[in-house]
Amino acid sequence: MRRYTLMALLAAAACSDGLDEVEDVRDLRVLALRADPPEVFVDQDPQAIVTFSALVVDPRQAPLATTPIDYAFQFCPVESNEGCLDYDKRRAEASEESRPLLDGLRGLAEDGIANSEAEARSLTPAEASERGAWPYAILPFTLALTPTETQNLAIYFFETNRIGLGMGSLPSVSLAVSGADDAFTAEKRFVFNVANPGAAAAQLGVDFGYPVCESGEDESAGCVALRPRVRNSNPSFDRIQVSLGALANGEFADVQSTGFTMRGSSVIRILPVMTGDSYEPFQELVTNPSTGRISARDLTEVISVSWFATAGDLQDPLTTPLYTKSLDTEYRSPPIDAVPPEGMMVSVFMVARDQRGGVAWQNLEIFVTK
Amino acid sequence: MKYGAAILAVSLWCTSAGAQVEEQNIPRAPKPAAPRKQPQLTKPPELVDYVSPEYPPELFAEGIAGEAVLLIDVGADGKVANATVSRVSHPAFAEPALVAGRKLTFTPAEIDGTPAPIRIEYRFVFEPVVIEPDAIVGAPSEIRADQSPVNYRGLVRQAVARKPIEGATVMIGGRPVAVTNDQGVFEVRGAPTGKFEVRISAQNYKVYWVDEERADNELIEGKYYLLPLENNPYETVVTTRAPKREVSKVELKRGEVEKSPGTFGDPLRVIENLPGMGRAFGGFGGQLIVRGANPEDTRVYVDGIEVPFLYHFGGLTSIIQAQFLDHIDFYPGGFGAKYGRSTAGIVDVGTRLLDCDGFHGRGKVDLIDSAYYSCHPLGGGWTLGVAARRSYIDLFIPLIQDAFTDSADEGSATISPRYLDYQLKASKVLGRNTFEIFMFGSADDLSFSQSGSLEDVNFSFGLDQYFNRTMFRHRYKLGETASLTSQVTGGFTRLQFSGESEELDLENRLKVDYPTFEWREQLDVKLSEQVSLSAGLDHLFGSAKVFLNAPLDNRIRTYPSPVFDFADTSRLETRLGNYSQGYWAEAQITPGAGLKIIPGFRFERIDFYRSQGYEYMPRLNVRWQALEGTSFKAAFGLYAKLPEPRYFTQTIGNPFLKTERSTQYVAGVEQKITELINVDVQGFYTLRSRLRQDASGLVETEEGVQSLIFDNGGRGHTIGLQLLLRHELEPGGRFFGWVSYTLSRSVVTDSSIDFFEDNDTATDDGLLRERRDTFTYLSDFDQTHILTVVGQWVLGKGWEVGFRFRLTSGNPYTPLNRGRVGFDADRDVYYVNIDGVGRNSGRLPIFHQLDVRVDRTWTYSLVKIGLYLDILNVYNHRNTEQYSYDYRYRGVAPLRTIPFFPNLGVQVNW
Repeated sequence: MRRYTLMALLAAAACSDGLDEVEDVRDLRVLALRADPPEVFVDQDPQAIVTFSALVVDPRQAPLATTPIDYAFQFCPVESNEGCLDYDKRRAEASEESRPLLDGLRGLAEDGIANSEAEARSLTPAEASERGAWPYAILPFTLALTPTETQNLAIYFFETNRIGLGMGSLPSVSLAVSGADDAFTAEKRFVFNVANPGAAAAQLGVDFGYPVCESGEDESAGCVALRPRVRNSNPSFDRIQVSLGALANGEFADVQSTGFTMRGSSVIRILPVMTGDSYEPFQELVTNPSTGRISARDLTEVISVSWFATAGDLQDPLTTPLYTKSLDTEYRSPPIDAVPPEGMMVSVFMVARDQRGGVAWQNLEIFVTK
Repeated sequence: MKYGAAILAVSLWCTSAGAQVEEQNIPRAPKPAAPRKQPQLTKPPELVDYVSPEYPPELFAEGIAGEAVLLIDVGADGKVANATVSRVSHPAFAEPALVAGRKLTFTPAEIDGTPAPIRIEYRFVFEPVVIEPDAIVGAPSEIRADQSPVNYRGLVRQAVARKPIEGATVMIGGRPVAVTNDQGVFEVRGAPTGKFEVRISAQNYKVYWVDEERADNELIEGKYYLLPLENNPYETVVTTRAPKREVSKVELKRGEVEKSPGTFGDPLRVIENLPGMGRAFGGFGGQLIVRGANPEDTRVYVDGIEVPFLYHFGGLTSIIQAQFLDHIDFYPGGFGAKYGRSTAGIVDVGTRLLDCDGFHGRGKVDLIDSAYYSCHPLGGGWTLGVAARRSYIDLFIPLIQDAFTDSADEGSATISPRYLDYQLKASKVLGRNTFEIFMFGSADDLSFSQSGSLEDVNFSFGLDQYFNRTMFRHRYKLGETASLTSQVTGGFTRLQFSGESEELDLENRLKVDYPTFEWREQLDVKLSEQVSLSAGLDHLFGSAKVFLNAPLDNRIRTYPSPVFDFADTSRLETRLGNYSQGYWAEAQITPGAGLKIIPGFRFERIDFYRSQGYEYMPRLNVRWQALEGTSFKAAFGLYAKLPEPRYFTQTIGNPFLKTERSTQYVAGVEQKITELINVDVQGFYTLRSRLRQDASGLVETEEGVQSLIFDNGGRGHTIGLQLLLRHELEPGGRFFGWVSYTLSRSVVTDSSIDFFEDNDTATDDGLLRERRDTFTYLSDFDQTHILTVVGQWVLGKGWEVGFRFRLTSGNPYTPLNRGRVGFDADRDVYYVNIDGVGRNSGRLPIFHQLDVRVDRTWTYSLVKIGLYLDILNVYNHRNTEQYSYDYRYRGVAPLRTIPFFPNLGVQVNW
């Protein structure tokens, strides 16, 4: 993408020295967090139970790779964009009755140690991930609210923001990770919602300024046609395809995600293919900026894929039809001079997201030879 | 050849015999044991025998004028005991002056009535051109008495400009024979036959030699073009300027600004070298950062007309060509009541009345743009000036961009920045009336487009800013003591951003069309020698049409996502009406004793969209010339302006924003050190209030408490000291330059109103309000030290060289890498929480840069050709303008300003 270099040079008349690129995984990283399910309906699920998993990677060799990492999941029962650092402020804004509930839910946490094992390199990725071994591991956490907690949290969110005015509230789980030489936090939200906003139509109507349409009504009647929601699910990869060379219109063929071999300094394009049901329909509410009127509109999820590689170069850190026409990107293996005589393993990770919190990931193991 | 008049500059202070003189001839008296009577100079020495110094032949041949100042010890007998050189304008003048100075004879000075030795300053002036025919005994009258027919006629004009030169002396065989009239014409009777030497000399022009040959009974005619002395002040001094009034006003001569290094010959960019002016972002300059204030707080006028921007692309080059300029007045603060709608500084660019007597012009070509200017007499007293300029960076870029494309399926990308401007001015002076019509405009266009890519979405992006103005001005002199100036201006301004993609069915656009009409009246009356009065009105009408089709985030409760759908747009159209009325009056009172008092008052009625209000702004300037060469000055004033229109739009702004205000205090002193060197020191304090700031929550408006993104809760102040040490350009001088230094501190305080629900209160909406300061931080534009040194030398033979060196404190910045970093797994971004990290608590490294310019000019009879090389950042210092961070805020890399950048150009004047 050297032409973007040209743009940057011309636009800024300045340049900066090389900085780490987000798609290059060279040390301890949390690449993704997933909630399953990504959406909870309090009017359908008497008890909110969500399983979280984190994709953690550290491609470095021993001794760092042999150092275990500590991790800790913690529930954040308020809405936060700051990894729950603003919990105290949100709590202070809550009613007196809700504060004990929030404090109790804030205590829902789990920590652990992901061990590195010397034999990790002989394991299959699936085996390694199951055992919490490097180069990548999947750290699990199950958030299980009691029915009472679930209902009381719904009441809190209704008081706070009317369950997100029908689009759902967004509590989250934070993950703190600390390795031998690094520590940071990550956060993942899930949707806490009511399936049928019509049940709260009266109150939502007050807050919208418009009532939610009854079944069969349309917005010409002066209401907001917010239909009952269909629970979002995580997208899923159907298969991975590869084409030789850099051309975007090359011929793609399926490959095994467990791995294939390519030479150093060579180029392929990688195309993740998602299952058909990964693209789910949904509704969202919008305001007309001229009239201020609120209305509901129907959309279909757009999938985006974030790309990561433990070695070599990826052309795009993110692919989406909105920016790059399709989900594929170009991968260039490490320079042949940098490849050891015995070859090297490279992991390419793809993290797919829908627009509503659904997440899936897929890794591709590539053996690079001289 | 005779020399010009020698000026005897006897020192005003002297000392008794044997005392050493120090510190500008101030005597050092013997240490008294008790009070003694101070010795008095009762009779100064007077020159008895004058001895002419020998003019250095090489300087005479070049027509180089100058001076040599000696310190001469005159003995009690009137003879010179010792002479030393104090200063010379050219080293070659030193020795002849010393030789002559030692031979001078004076009458003895007397101290307390007794002859005594004394030290004096004596100045020899070397001028090769001053010929006084009557001073040559005998010869002129004999020739003038010759009643023989005219047999030699000539026309003497200035080279290139072709203006007739009046008073030029024509000599044949070393004897003056004629003097030119106001048409530059001379006639000679009884010119010799055969070959003879003619020499023509005139004040401020190089001596012209030519050999003519005449046959018997032949009338010969010739045209002669004299070259002006380099840095001829009578050609370049900014004229028609009133005496100094305002405390902080800086005026520059055109000779000081046209070849200033680092400006690509753009006089308007010299402003950035003056005290009180901060260094602009980037490296090309352009932003007007006045005393730590936001650039938007400084207003730019061209002939009293507000213009939206002064420079193309924020600083590349200005929008008015130098040939139109009459003056550039820069007021960093404390300006008078005439100016409004600014809370920081004023740049007032005045164009001149064109007075060409033939077709003259200028063409310029360099690596960035080409420019044309010409001046035409139209007849009937009308004069027309035309100018245009266009850049061609867009033509060069395609030549190199192919190197930046990897493969065919990437398609092609083009970027085409270009700018153009034009000026057209017609003027006529008819008795007491002066008529001017001035049309000017500017257009900047930046577009980027990508097409043919199989990998990425093809799109185009455009930035378009354009304005034009048409002004009619009539000035009428009401007798000798009053004048009335009426001026109306129509204009149109467009600002447009666009982004389009057919593949995404995307059309994003922000377009602001702003037609305006300005009306100014100004009455100047001189009531007496002590009092004069100015008053005027200043109205601005306009209606901005804002069209927005953009991905406004009008969605309610969306899930955080790493992608943003730019094709998901909303459409918004708004009209913002503006009727700003300003009325002002100002008196100038000179009660004597060197005192000048200028009280003023300005009243403005603000009516912009949904923001209405009144502003009452008293202003006062005081100047007191306490001693010859020493003036004290002070100023005070209230100022107000509305935030920029873009902050008023509903949905993306706050239509109820009020005026921002400032109160300015300035005090200073000017000291003339020598005829050419002076220093100006000022202290200033500016208090700002009601600044627009990002609202942190709810905002109180006239229509109740609303959730808006801006409010007027900010305030701040700047305190500082500035110094200008300046060596001015003298007639035929070789050097000018200045040292500008500003020390200042500028801070901003954000504050917000907290609203509390309380149903027991008497407020209509049941809300209690409590204002609280959120935090105070350095202004984004704070630069503690700003040092600029400018120097320019005329080397002779058409060569000039100049430099500009700048040393400034780094800009403040917020060090993000000190914050707490987290990973938002939904948005797929790392974010940094900077709570606890003070905003602007870091400072970038010191900025320093040297710019150099070399000019070579060839002057012929009808054409002057100039070649210049303007080099920015000569030693390629890698200045840091900002920091960029890696995705995780661990790695930090500096963003650099412009590196070594040479610009070569050629210009032709005719």
